[in-house]
Amino acid sequence: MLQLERLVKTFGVVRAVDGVSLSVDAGELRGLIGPNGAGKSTLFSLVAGHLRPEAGSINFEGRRIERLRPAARARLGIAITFQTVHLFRGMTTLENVMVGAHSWTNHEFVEAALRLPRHFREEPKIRERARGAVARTGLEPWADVPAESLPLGRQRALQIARALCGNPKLLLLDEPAAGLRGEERRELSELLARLCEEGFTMLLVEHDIGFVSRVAHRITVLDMGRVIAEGSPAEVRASEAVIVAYLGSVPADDGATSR
Amino acid sequence: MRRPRSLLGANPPATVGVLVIAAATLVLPQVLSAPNLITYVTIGLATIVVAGLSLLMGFAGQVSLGQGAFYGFGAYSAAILAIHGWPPIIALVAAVVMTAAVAAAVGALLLRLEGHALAFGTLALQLIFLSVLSQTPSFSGGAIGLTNIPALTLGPIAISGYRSYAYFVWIVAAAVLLVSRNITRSRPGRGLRAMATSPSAASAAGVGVVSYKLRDFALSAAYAGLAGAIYAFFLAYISPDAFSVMLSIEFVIMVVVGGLGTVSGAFVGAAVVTIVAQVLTSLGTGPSLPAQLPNVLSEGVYALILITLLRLMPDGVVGLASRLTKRLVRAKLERRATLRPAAGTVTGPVLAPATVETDGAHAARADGDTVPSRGGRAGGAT
Ligand SMILES: Nc1ncnc2c1ncn2[C@@H]1O[C@H](COP(=O)(O)OP(=O)(O)OP(=O)(O)O)[C@@H](O)[C@H]1O
Ligand SMILES: [Mg+2]
Repeated sequence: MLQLERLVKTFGVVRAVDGVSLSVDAGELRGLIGPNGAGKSTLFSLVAGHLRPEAGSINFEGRRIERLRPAARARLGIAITFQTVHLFRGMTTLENVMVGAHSWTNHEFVEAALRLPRHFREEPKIRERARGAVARTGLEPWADVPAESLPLGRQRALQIARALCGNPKLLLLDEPAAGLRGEERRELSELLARLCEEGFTMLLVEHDIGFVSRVAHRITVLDMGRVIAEGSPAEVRASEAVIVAYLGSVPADDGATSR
Repeated sequence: MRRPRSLLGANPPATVGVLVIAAATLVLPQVLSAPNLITYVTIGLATIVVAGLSLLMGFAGQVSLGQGAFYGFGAYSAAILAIHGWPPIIALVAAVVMTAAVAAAVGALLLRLEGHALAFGTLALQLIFLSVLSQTPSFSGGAIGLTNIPALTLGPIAISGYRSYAYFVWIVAAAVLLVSRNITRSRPGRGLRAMATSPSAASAAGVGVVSYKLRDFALSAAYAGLAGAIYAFFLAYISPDAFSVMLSIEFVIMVVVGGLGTVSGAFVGAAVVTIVAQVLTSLGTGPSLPAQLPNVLSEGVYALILITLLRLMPDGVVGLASRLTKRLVRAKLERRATLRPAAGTVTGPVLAPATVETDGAHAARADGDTVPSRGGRAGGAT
């Protein structure tokens, strides 16, 4: 479904992504791990279209997409949740989520201004889909309050709801569990498992190796902008290169985390 | 927490407000004197322009210093077409479309650039507009202007006289405000509002940020062109003096006074600044006073207003008013909550007034909230 070939992105002298090749199958949940500054978020920005690679190609469902703008990639079915939560301030949770529907709806300024038929056809569908996304991320009690008043964990859930409202095929989740408490983490991993069953393809960045190992089918390890290991969770955790580069020391058990 | 529905609908204060305004617009043209009617029409025209400019400043985060030029372009287009025999109402509609088209062309060049490109570009556009007028006397009447503009007719109805314009302008203003409201409460409006606080998340959700800015800009120009076209028919005489750079600056000040992105703000800003300008003109005009005094006075006062407002009430008069009402409501709810603690009254989060915040500032804040140990490192996504 998604093939990255020798992607390169530099910031001045920093080679944030340094020749990354990666292939993700449809329906796969791929974990992406690596130390701080490894280039995980930069890689996501390249796939979502906020950054343009200096070299390399991105194939999504057989199409070259590396030159498309983010909105065009959203229309093809790519959705992202950001590591630093991005909310639309001054809008309610439900309205925030409804923005996600831009990728599969079309009515424009004139149609909205004059309340033409397509406005009336699309608007209820947007609302219905957004309500569904709000419900399955547990945000119903917050639906009508301003998004910026939500607790952090709920703001992360809102980002997922907004992504889901876009009807995506590929979900890029950048540390969705960061800052979440135990109960919220459990809810998140259940949600991810359910999305997996429904056939979503996902890339998940997460520092908690225990968490990724439980939900991901395969894990790719990045360090200094390069792929240093790839395989099943067990293989990756046994890999010497990973232990040295990423963990610094051998983890004691399943609960081991990087921070 | 859902309030029981009353006769006045879901939002009684808003409904009462609409009724009061509707009554006022019906009665005022009957009771105002002729000079006051002119002011009244002028406020209506300015409200239309400001409604558009506030959509641009509030959502695209861009300032146009050329709204006066679009106003003038609409006025001249309508006047010239009507003088050349077009039915006035068709000339008016054509003027609006032409103004939007000019803005779309200019915006396509400028909106891809970051920062203040649009502000400077539109200022340049205003200067070009004025110099074209002075260079084409045979066509535009040059410095003298155009005098023989036909009266505006809507089929059998001729709109003439201050009183009928007082009704016409406010009907058009109401229609424009309805259009603004329809847009903000729908897919494109949500896209615009989203773009105002986080362009990167908006684009990831499928909002074409550049094209939305462009549409927003063309829309704001269309509003200005519409007001200008009506102005041309209203006065039946237009000259370049009426479309100075100062007019563009006045429109920006009206937006700042009224506050961004509120429908009522457009009216409040237009009314306050128009009336202040008139008071200053009458103060500065007298037999023994220098002829330049009114201009100097108004420029000075505008500068003062701008500085004061930006420091004290960044969200304008209407923003200040709504902040105060919300504070009152909250105080009331809190009092109720302390009186009956067992009833479990939900005060709910108090709505913060919508403020435009840049992506970067927000990202930095969210970063701080999320992972304090990594403060200062920019997220790759922004
Ligand atoms: N916009 C930017 N400008 C300059 N340098 C950047 C930018 N974004 C990222 N970098 C640098 O690129 C490198 C990779 O950063 P990136 O955010 O992709 O890492 P990451 O793997 O997501 O790390 P973390 O786990 O801390 O989120 C880092 O050295 C970072 O400082
Ligand atoms: Mg990151």
